[in-house]
Amino acid sequence: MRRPTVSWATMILLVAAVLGGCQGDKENDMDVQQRAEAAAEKNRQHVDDLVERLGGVGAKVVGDDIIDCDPQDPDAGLLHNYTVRFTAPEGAETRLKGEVADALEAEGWTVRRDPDTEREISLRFLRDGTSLGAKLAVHSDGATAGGSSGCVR
Amino acid sequence: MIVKVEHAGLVLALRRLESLADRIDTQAGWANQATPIGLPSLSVLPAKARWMRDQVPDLERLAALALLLDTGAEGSVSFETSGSEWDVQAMFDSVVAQRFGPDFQESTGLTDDEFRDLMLTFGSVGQTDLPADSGIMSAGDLQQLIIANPDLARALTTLRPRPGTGPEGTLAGLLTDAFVAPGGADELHEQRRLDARDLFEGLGGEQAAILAMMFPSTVGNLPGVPFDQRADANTVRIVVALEDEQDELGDLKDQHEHNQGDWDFLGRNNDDLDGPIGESEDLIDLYESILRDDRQILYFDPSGDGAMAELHDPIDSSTRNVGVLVPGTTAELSNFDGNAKRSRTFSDNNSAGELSMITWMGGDLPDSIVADAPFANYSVALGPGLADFSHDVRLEIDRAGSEAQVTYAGHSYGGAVVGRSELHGLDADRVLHIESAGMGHDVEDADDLSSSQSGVDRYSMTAPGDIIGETQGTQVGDNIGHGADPDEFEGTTRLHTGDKVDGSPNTGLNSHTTVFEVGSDAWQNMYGVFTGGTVETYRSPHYEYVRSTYGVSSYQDGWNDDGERIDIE
Repeated sequence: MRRPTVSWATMILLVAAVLGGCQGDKENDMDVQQRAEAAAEKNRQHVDDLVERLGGVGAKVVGDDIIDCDPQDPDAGLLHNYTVRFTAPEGAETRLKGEVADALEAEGWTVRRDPDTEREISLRFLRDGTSLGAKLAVHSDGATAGGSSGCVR
Repeated sequence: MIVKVEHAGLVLALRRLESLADRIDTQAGWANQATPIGLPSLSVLPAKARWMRDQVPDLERLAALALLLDTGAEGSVSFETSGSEWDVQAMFDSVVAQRFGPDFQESTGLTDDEFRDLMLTFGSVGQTDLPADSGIMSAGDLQQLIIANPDLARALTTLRPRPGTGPEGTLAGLLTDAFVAPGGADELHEQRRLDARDLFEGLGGEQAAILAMMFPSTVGNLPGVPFDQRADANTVRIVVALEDEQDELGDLKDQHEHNQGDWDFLGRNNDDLDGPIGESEDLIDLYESILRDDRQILYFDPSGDGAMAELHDPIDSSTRNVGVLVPGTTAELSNFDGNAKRSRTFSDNNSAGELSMITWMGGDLPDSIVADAPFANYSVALGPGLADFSHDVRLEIDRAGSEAQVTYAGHSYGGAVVGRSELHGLDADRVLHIESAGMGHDVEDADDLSSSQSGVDRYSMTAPGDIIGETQGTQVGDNIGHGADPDEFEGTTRLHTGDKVDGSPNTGLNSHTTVFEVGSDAWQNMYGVFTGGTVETYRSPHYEYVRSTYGVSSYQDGWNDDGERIDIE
């Protein structure tokens, strides 16, 4: 019985396909990184804009991270978390629950009104797989605004 | 020859000597300018000033030596030198060799001046009333010196405290073996925890930090040591780990390069090292970030898959809540940063800055969901460590003058770790099981827990369709399964996992991870537990049924309205 043979041309094609596949993975990784960076830019804009709408002063970025969507799975995609601490002016709570929430809703954000607690007022806004939120301390002028780009694959 | 040295007197002498040399130079200069001819009596003066300055290093060495030997903080100390020659350098070398080992100075890679300042600084620990201008480094300067000199860091990691008097002796005493009555080991361990706290608290911030950096291998993970000093010590150990990892990466890259041209058939080994190289690069990024951003590492062990605990946002008197998040299967040092950043989202978003988070990965976790995660041995090994750490967290809260409530949250296999730690007396106010493997091997019902756990508030969340829900509550034999189902455990409040940030129900296989999406309902519920705020209890999934030629299929389109809002505090 004749042994099956593989021609050199077939071998070269196979090698090229394997190498091409690997190249594709690396290009895809770069695409994901670029898309995550673009999503991060938008995310920062949304959060900074929210701080501005609330009249926040002394804004300080406390978190600005592009991370794996699943820390234990590097292939799960990337997401961007961004958080700013700031000082909320008087009336920020009324503005957040009223005009700011209304304006964001009009721009297509779904408003999630978390129950007020003794310590904090919290509203979340969701749109196109991204989140935005503000938390205002009840007993001080401390406040945070944060956002997540959602997972970019 | 008996030599008596007094640090304060030596410092005074050397400052006066420097000052006198300066004055001689200045006045000799003026005299030379004032006279039209060169006077022989003036020409010798600069040489005298130079001679005085030449004595300064010896006086500084003597000052360092006076501190190093004066472990009882007496202010002066006598010692015997060999021979009759007055050789300060030899005396200094001899004392350093006795105290730190014969090759210590060489192994640090420091210049003579840097090393002398280091010895002065180490000698200052435990001393009182030190002169302000005695040349002792601040703890911050010492840390920068160590970060800039990996050889020094490595040399320090080899030091062990010696029995004797002073803070070093006390530290050594915490490590000595002791005979105890049956059952007395726990009591001794707790006493030593308090003794360690008292030692470092008694020294004050600067000296405590210096002692921590002097003996990093001893202090880094030592129970009772205040978190600031644990972090100081672990910074030194990270410097060493970074250099080791850079060497490892270099070797891997060399081998990778070799693999590309080694005529291996079809280049089968060309990509073999992509994974290890990536992990090594991740470790280097982690270590560099820790050093660059002054991150507070409370526990560190680079061996094997590694172990680390990190504090996010310091615990102080204004801290009202502390959350400790324990990751699960496949967590290891190379992906620690992702888990740390996940924890940090909670403290970062707390508006009043009253929440501190800790990421705790205190040892080896399963590498594989199928091959390892069903087995309890990892959680059985880690549980006691987490329970022990919980006492340090409480000590830190007390030390800060805070009355913070502490939540221990375990994600996935981390839930089983938290569960097992309860069997060892986890000091928790709240426990949260997040997509948890179980209540812990051998924890079948509340009676399995000791009375110390009776005051713990318990919460759990498991999203519909998370495959882990199928394994919860399973236990077979001595090492398979993780005890009771957390969602059904007596006294546990099951929480709503809700929607993802895209508005769709958080359901299915990915929900195991997407519960951590910042801004999702599940994340908000976790935040509620961590901050002692408001949470929404379990809502059952609502399914839509679709009839087709293949039969009836269903998908989740929302939630039934059967949950409620509850205030935790």
